[in-house]
Amino acid sequence: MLAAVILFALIVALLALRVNLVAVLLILGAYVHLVWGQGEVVYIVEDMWIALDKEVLLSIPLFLLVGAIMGRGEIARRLIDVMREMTGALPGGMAVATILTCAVFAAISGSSAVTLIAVGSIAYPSLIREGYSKPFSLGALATGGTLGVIIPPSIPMILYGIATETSIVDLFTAGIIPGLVLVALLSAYTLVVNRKLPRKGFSLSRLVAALRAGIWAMLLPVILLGGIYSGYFSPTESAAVALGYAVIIEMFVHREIRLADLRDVAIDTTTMMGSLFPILAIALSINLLLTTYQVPAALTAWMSGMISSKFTFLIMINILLLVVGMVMDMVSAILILAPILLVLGRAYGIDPVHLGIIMTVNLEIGLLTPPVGMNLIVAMTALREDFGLIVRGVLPFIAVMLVGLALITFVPQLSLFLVK
Amino acid sequence: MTMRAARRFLDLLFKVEAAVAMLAFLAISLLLIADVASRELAGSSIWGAQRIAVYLMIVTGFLGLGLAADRGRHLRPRFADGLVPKSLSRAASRAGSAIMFAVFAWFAWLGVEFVMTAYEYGDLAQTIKTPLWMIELIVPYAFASMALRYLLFAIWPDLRPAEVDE
Repeated sequence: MLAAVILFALIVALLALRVNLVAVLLILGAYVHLVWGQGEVVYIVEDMWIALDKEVLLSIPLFLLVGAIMGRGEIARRLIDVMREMTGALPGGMAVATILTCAVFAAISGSSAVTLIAVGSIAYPSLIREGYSKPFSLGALATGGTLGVIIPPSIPMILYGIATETSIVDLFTAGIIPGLVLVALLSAYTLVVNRKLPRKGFSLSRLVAALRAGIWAMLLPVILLGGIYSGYFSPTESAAVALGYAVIIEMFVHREIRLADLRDVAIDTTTMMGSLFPILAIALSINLLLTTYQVPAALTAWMSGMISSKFTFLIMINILLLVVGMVMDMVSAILILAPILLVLGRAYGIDPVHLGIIMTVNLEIGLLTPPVGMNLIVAMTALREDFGLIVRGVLPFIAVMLVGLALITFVPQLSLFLVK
Repeated sequence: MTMRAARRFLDLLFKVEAAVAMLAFLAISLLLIADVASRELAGSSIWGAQRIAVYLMIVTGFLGLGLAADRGRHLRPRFADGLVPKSLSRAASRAGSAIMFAVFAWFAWLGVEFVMTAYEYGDLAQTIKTPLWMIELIVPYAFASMALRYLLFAIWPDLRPAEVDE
């Protein structure tokens, strides 16, 4: 017990001294090996290597690269044009178009920050020009951006799949309906709020023109997800094909990206990998150690003694994840907690795929909650608006997301219906 | 060594590591795209393409450690920041850099042990059968590169980059 208290104090002290998560996890792993294990700290390095030596991991840098290329090119603007013409007949059509564009862009990028920056930088000035309030526009964009992590392909889902040895294709498939439910709820909310705004009107000729310009962009999610769901490509192969397609489209069709841009994108993606992969490797190594010492099993036995019903467990797990989402980034939360929650969830009869979706949606909401809601910070930087204004703007959207979370948590069929 | 010389050294280190990472990235992308194309058009995959891509990805990931440190992109939960008074935050950050130097230097040494084990056992890389220790050299290198960076950040705190929110 004393050793555990010392460890907790050590972690807090390290974080207070601005030590980054990679170093904290290395110290944590070393401490566990030295205090509770056999003192062989070199095992951490061996386990890190084993954790990274996986072909499925190749999809992560490729999806990051595809998202980064799309973020720099013309795709977001073309998608917005298409969605805007499609929703022209609705009151608050531009806001619905923004949510739908985020959803389609999410089906390409797999990252919430990329979705928010790419769509937000173009849609935000248009929303303000068309009379939408600033808090509403900021809320819609910050929340729409989070769809990037629930609508497949999703990097957090890949990480969950790796951390818990759950099929990534199943997770991608399971994310479709929950993603659409959230899109429907957010769109319905924007329609209700903006019902008094004037309609732009629908024009078939304008829609056809927008579709013509945006067809190459619209085809990308079809190729990407169609390839995966049909079983024609593995997630990694699909990411490779999407990358090849994206480079060709942006360089030779849209002519928006040059070789120098590709160099910048590659360096940017490598630094992202540099922050992601070591944490992935060390977290998996620590989880292996915890499993060896049967920590998840002991935790399950302890929890089962306290909570008897599945319903209460689901409530508890949602509260835990919402709180974690407020103070921790998504990658770390998934890699550290998923293997433990998986064992706990199994004891209550929760399907690992369903648990993955619950976890993703909870942490997706965490992207919007202060103090470390990533989309709030990204919106503040990219859209140059006040943090408090953005927080005020996202509050009603968080309420809508919580309704979606309740549906996704307590109706497992929403996640599991399409999974074979 | 002056702070300016240290800055120049860090810039050079970043350029070299970024160039290697970029080439590795290019190779990964080309290998995987060619592998899918070959499977679809010629009916067979390229021998070892996925394996080579995995090893290149590991190299890129470890090189990314240093690159992320250079750009202030390492993740760091901030809930404990308030425990240190604002007036002492610079000193706290400096102490943090010194701790990270020590941690990464220790893991660089462990990385050397890891490579030596593979060398002594004559471990071979899967499929491509190259001596594994050659690829594993990236581990001690990456940790040593991190240690060096944080040593310089501890000596000259102004060199430590502002943190970027992803």
